[in-house]
Amino acid sequence: MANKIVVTSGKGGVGKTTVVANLGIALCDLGLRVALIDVDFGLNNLDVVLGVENKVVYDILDVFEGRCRIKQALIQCGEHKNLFVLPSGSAKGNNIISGQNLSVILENLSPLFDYILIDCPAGIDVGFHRAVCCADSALVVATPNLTSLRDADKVISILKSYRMQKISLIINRARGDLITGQKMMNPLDVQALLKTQLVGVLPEEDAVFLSVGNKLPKKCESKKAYKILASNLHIGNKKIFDVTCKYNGIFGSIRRGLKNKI
Amino acid sequence: MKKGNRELVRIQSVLENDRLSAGDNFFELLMGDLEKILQEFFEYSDAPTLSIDKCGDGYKVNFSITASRLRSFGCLPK
Ligand SMILES: Nc1ncnc2c1ncn2[C@@H]1O[C@H](COP(=O)(O)OP(=O)(O)O)[C@@H](O)[C@H]1O
Ligand SMILES: [Mg+2]
Repeated sequence: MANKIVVTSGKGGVGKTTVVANLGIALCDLGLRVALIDVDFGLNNLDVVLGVENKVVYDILDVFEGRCRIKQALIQCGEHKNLFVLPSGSAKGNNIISGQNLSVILENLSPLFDYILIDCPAGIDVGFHRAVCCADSALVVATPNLTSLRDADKVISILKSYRMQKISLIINRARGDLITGQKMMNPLDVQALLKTQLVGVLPEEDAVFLSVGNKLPKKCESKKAYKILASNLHIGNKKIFDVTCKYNGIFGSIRRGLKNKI
Repeated sequence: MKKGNRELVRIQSVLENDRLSAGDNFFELLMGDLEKILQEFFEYSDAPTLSIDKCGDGYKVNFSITASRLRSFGCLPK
């Protein structure tokens, strides 16, 4: 049976869809079978981030309304044999698919996969609850700034009322240069602030922004950070990617100086 | 203080306030529910008082009533 994890944040634009796509790939690289479910009806982007938008024939609404079987709607992602995405369709789904309906769809997928990652819409209204009620555990994505952390705190308190098996925190868009210069909050301080286990720190990186629809370059920092995140989740490791290591020491301070100038 | 630390202090106080303000009607709902129970066990005239204060990592919730008598169980209202 699959481990069903909702990726949520409260605030929009902090990187939920990016995390679902790249974490999915990293889990798949560990040899696991992974399904990614887009339940952001109307603002669906997961297919685009994964570069499979041209392969979409059916979506989750077609599954629900009986126009196709679940397996027909699943799209296999390029070279990743065991990575599939179930795309979401128009905003119409918002009024038609309930949390219970979604749970039934996920239950049907569950025996086929090791992980099901659910890409949750922003906000804390119906769409959020529909996504959350189907999951066993939650990953809360936040960026290290005031507005995102405030929303994350609210989301965490709502998630607690769902009695999830586990609620964990991912800090996205961390800037090693700013953290070393103490201009950005340290992810460990954020962990203490939100009283929620940190399972991943992901660097702010142009490669992520530029890779939409393509794979992350093999050698980029984010690739390493996602690999660590995936093994933290799957094996229970407690390693955290160090975004600051590039900026420590003499060469590091030169790099920081250069970055500040840009 | 460096910007990162300043932000941390600021967010700490924002979250503290958020966590305390439990949403609209929180106090009315809590008092209403508590009174429903208390009335079955005590006779009292003054409204109960409630205070919630920050205490370490959490909150100290103090609730007090002055009861004129304890109701005996034979005469609990239906
Ligand atoms: N670590 C990162 N570094 C650089 N850009 C990022 C990073 N994470 C996300 N982004 C960019 O931020 C934008 C919003 O991300 P997205 O995943 O769509 O957010 P959400 O799903 O939470 O609305 C996208 O353009 C994405 O490429
Ligand atoms: Mg998104």
